[in-house]
Amino acid sequence: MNPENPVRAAPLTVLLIEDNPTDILVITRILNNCGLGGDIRLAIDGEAALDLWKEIEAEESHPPARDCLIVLDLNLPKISGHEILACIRSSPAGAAAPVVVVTSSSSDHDLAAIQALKASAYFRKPTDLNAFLELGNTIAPVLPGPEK
Amino acid sequence: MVLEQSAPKPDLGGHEVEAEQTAQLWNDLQDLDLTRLVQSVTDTSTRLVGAQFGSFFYNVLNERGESYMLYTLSGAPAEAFAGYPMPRNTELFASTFRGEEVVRSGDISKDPRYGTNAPYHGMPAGHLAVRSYLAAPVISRSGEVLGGLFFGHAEPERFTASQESLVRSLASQAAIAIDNARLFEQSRWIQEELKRSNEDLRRANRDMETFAYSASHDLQEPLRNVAINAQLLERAIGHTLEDEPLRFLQSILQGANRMEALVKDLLTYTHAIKHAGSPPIISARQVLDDVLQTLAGRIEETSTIVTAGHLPEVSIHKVHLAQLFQNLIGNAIKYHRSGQAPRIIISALRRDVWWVFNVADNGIGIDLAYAEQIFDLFKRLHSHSHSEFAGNGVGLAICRRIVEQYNGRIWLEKSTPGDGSTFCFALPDQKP
Repeated sequence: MNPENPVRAAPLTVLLIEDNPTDILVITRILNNCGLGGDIRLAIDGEAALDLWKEIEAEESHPPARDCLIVLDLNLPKISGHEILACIRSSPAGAAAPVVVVTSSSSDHDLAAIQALKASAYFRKPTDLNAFLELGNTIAPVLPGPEK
Repeated sequence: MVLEQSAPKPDLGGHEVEAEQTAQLWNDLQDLDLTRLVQSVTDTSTRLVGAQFGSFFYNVLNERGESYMLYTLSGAPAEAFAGYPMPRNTELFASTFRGEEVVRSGDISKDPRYGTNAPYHGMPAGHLAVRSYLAAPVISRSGEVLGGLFFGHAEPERFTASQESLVRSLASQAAIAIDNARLFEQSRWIQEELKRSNEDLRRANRDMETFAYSASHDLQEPLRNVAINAQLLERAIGHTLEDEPLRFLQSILQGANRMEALVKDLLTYTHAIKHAGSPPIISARQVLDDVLQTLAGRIEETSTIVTAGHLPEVSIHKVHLAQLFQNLIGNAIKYHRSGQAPRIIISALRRDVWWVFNVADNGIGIDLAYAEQIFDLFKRLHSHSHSEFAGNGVGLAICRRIVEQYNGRIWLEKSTPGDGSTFCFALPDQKP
């Protein structure tokens, strides 16, 4: 798709922001299944998430930070997922980065906020494991580059 | 006339003055403010009677319902009485406060009841000089002595028999006025109390909603953990497990699923009334048709026959009426008798200011002993293992919550176990 960058040289960086151990386990498996397991950075609270994001932004890496996939839970300790999303979106590298919001919330209020902050996709955490594995299908379309 | 403020104007005769003052008094008696009322009664009656001093001692109740005495004065500055105790139950005053006859004396200092009490034995030193004395009890319609009107004059023989009867009638008028003022204050107090309880109720409702909402949200997280981990376990070692441990694992999953359904219903229940804005006027028939469309699959599967009579226009949010129809018709289909196709008849009748909707079926019926409790949240008459009648006991609770939001009512009109039920819900008719 992108003629200047036809082959990815390094694995895509994934910033996984999630505090629930079970969900971390399942989402990591899903990322592995999608071939995204090469460089997963995990933040289990909001503060750590922003620190990690600043780190990724500062790296002169290839692919660039703007291609970093962010998997974001909303209900987090210290800083909420909404604030993190707003922060990432207001940074130069994060303005268009793929952000998949993964939440157990179904409230209209949360949904509206996610939309307003321009999340790339939204996935409601299910109770059924098979339904959870479908998260891969939500992630794939928002990925940048040739795999799109 | 002794008092300056009551000096007759030169162009008016005495009778006209009296008429004017009586008119004034009549006006004063309409006052519903107790303090103002009592003061004006004292002032005007002092003038009408031609007394130098007048006073009105009356009992009032504080918020705790305790009685205490207040007084108003006329013709004498309050300082003239300041420093003296309240009129005690001396022989002279006692008869008035007991509600006995009017006391009229040409010279109270010669009255045998006068001066019998310690410590003053008569008028306390420095008290206003009183010879002529006129006192009348003010008695409520309930028989309670509200207080007493007392008049005095420094000169003897100032009060006549006609002034005595005037005071008697003034006292009874004042009693009525005070009764009214008290009733008015009472009703105002009750209204305030009602407003407070309404606010309490609203607050409790809000708290309940907040609680149910956050509980259902906060419950979801651990619940998902149980379910997902049980499924991960099943994937990892399910194939190696014997029958019994596999059943344990499946029970965990079933429990989690059931809890998930409950949490979802709890959310639906708390959301049932969240609908902003005043309700539009909609066609109930249109809503019913939409609901029947939604339920078409189940209706066909069960060969249900639905008949609807004329349905009115009502003022209600569409989603709410739809939920009412859907839950009641859904129940009628669910609780049908085996081997018999459900028949449901929907109609509406105007009763006073209400539109009463009927949803009648030929299903398994309900024991009337449970007619009330079926509308309670999570109340079910069938065990969960009875898969034929699956559910969480939320449908009718949601219905009740909806109708009550419109000041309506829902009830089980009639039911015979084995021979069908009729549910009714009443919505106020908004049209004049």
